[in-house]
Amino acid sequence: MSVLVYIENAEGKLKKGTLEAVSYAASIAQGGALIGVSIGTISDEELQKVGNFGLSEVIKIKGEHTNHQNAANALQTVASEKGSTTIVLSNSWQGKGIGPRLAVKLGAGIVTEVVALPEGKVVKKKGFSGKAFVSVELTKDKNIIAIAPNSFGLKENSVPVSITEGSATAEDNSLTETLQSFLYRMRKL
Amino acid sequence: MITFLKNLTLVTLIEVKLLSKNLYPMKILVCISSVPDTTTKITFTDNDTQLNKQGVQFIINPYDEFSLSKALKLKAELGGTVTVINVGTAENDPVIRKSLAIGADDALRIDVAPIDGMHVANEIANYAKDKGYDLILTGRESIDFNGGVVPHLLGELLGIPSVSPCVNLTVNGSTIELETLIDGGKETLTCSTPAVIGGQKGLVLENELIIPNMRGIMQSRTKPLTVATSASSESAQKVTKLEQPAAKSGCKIVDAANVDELVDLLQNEAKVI
Repeated sequence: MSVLVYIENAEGKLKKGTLEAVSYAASIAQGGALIGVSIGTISDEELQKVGNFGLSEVIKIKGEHTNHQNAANALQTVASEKGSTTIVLSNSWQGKGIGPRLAVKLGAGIVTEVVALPEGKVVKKKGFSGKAFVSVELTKDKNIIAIAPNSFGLKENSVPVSITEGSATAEDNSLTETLQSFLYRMRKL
Repeated sequence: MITFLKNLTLVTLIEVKLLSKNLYPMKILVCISSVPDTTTKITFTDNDTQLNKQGVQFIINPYDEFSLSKALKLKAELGGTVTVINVGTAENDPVIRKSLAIGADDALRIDVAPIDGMHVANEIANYAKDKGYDLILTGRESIDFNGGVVPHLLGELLGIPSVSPCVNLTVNGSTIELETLIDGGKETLTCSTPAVIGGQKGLVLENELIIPNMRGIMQSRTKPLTVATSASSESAQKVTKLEQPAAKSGCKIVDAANVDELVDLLQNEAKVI
C-alpha cells in the first residue's frame, strides 16, 4: 500500500488534526511507502515535527493551500506521480473541501469522519450525528480517508525527515475567487 | 383580453425592473435527503446492517431545508423556478411532497436506494448536466451518514464551482457572493453561476425557514413529482455494520494536586490535547 498524507497548515503552523492524520497514515503504511505533501508557506523547522509521528519524506509544494481546488490539483499530481493508493487527510474544513474534489480527480472512493484504523478494507466512521458508528467496506482500489479530529490520537514514533521541493504547483486556476478571509481569533487581538 | 394585457404589462414591468438591477430569474435545483427525525432513537436490523425504520419519522434533512428556503427566497426576489431532486425509493415521497408544500414548483425522484455520497452525487450529476441550472443547492451534509461530500463531488463532476458550507449568499446577475466557514474563521468568495452550494444555518435564519401552510399542502398533491430511472451505479463503499457508541462512563474526578494524571487522561483517554 502506497500512502500519501496531506500535511495541512494554518498560518504556517501544524495543527493537532494534521499530526493525527500523519500518525494514522504511518500506522496504515506499516513501514511501506509513505509520503507527506505540504502546500503553501511553512518553515522546514515546523515541518520537521511530522518526524515525531513516523513520517520521513515530505514534499513541499508552492502555491495557495487555502484554495481547495488548487490544493486538490496539486495533490492529484503528486498522488499520480507516486502511485498512491490511499490518501489520508484531516476532516477539517480544509480537508472537507479538498477530499471530494480529489476523489473525483483520482477516480477514488472517499470516506469521511473515520475514527479507527482499517481492518482489511473496512473502516469505521461516525454516523447519525454521533448516535452511531458505521463500518463501511471500501470498494475502490484508490481511497481517500478523512480522519475525524480527536478520534485517533497521536502515536509518537521518531524518524528523521527529508524535505524536498515538489514539481507540482498549487497555482491559481480556481473557479472561485477569495475576496477576504476573516479569522475569529483576530477579534481577540 | 384586457386582464391578459394588464398581466402582460405587469410581467414586463417586473422583468425590466429586475434586469435594470442586473438581476435575472434563476433556474434552481435543490437536492434533498430523507433522514430520520433528529430525536429518533437509533436501532438496527438485518444483522446490524440497516437502520430499523419501524416507528421512525422521516424528515427533510435539516441542512437541505435551509437550502430549500433560500432557493424559494431567491425565487421570490428574482423569479425563476425551484425543482427538488431526491435519490431514493418511493418511501421518500412524503418527504418530497413536503418540499413541494413548502413551495418548490416540481420534483424529481431518481428511483434507486442510495448507496453512498458518491452514488448520490453521480445520479444527480447525470440528471443535471444538461438541464441548465443556475444554482444547485444541497445541504452541507446529511444527518444520517454525515459524509458531507456531495456538494464538492457534484461541483467536480459537473466542472462548476462548489462552495460548502455556505452561510450567506447574495446574487448579482451571473455572479454570486458567498460566505463560507474556514478553520478558525470565515471567508468571502465570489464565483460565477452555475455553481453548487452546500447550505446550512446562516443561508437563511432559523426563523426564516418556510413552514408549509394548508394551501401549500393542498397544492403539493397536484404538483408534478416525476420518477426517473437510475443512470449510475458508481459508488465507493457499502455498509457492513452499524453500532451504537459505548455508554458514556461516569465522570472521573482527578485530585487537584495530581496534574500529571489529568494531563495523561486528557491526552490518552479523552485525546483532546
